[in-house]
Amino acid sequence: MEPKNNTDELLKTTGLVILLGLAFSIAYWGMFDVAGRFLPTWDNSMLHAGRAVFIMETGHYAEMEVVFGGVTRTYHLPAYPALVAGTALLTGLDFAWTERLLTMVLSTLLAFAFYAVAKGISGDWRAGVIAGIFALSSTNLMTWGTRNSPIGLGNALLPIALYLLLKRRTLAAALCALVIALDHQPTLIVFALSAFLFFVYEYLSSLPRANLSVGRIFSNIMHPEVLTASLAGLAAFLTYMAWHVRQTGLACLNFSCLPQFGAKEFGKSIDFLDYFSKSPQAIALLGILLLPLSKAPNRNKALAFAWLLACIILVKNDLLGIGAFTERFLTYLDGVVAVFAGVGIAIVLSWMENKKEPASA
Amino acid sequence: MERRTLISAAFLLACAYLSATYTYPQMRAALPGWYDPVVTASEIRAAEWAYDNVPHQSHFAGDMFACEMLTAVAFQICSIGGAWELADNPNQRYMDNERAFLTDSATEAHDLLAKYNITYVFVSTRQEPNKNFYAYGWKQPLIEKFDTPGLFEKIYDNESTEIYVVK
Repeated sequence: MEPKNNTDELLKTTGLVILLGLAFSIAYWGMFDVAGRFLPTWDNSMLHAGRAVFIMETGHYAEMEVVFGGVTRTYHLPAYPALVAGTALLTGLDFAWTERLLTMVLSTLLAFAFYAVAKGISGDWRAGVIAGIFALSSTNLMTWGTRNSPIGLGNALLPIALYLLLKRRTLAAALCALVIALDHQPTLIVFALSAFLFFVYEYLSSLPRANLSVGRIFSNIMHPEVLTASLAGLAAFLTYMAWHVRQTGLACLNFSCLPQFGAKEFGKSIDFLDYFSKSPQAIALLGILLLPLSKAPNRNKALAFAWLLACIILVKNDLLGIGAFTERFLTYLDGVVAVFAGVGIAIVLSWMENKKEPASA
Repeated sequence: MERRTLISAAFLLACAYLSATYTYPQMRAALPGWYDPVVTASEIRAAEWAYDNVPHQSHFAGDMFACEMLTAVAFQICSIGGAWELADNPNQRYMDNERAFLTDSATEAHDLLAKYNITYVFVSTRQEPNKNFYAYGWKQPLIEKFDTPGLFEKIYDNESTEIYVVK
């Protein structure tokens, strides 16, 4: 539901103020109340700060780990430390104040990103507001996504990148994909799989119904309606592979050398019955059921379900014999679940609006 | 007033109520541990001193949180860190680092630190005694052994945080 008059516009703005105010207040409380005397230090966040300081001190990225004696070539990606170092350079702030500033900005951006993508999918600003609030209610998302670490940047960029795919902003989507590829591997995997599934939908739906030839099947990858997903996916894949080959050479093209996969970190199997029996996940079932029946364009539905399916595959990757990072991917599942919950509630509200008044006697 | 406006206004009231009575309190209950700085103000001041007085990118040993803080505040390299899976032989390094702080033998600690070319030891007595030293869980380090001339030399001692040179 696009705002139809000044009153609607005012209500929409009020919704955004509530959402962004909530995000800002949580981040402010965390950074200036709980962590007031310094910075949060859990989840290796100071390692990333250390890499940022390395750039600030030397002008180069730390090619080796800054702990464990500094003898191991790093697998960590450079985007977040570069963002901290660049912001410090531009603002004149020290690394700690830069981290505080960026955390506040990224936490608020996270809420806005979920607002944008849910509104983009459903066409109703109310879906955006409630999706944002549900995203901010996710302990997984807030634990990993609202502190001074690359995940904070990745969690905000993922919904933005998917929104850009939805709106066919090809250059912006490719640039966003490139930054995700240089920021955080799990976020990249979620984006790449979501974009790929969406690409498959766009590709198949853009194929001509008649006169289908072999040449057309291949050339259709660059069809204008498929181009955004194709280029964003390629940007993410090629950027990460360039970094991966730079760090590991050609001997690890199947990624088996990456310690996360070798150690099968966080490989616990997730029980979906238990997961979807909690709130707000249970509310998301409303959106999963109602979105296919709604008037939203089919490609909007396709993007939402591509994102959901990608997260489900990754959370349940133990069923594919991988069993790595399953719990970490819950963070991303919580995000798309918040979007579906928002979309579901917005559809119900629209239905209530359009319900005919009973005829008066 | 139109029905759409009424519904949207009621929706916003519900959102404000949800934010104030559920989301914000829920996060205040769930997140404090994750926002905890762990390291003390005294440790940060010691790290700032190290930034000014110790050659940058020297090799320090400390607990996990002090180590990671030292990489940023003091611009040093440290013995262990949280991303243990990314290290060379991490379990041995973790075990040896922990042992160097927990043993009561100055010689054993010195040998373990020398094995990894550690040149500085960073120790602190945190106010919360269960957060004194983190390696494989929270432990109580024995720091008196570092006052052993010939093996270690104290170069900083302020507000319960000490830095020693490994001889």
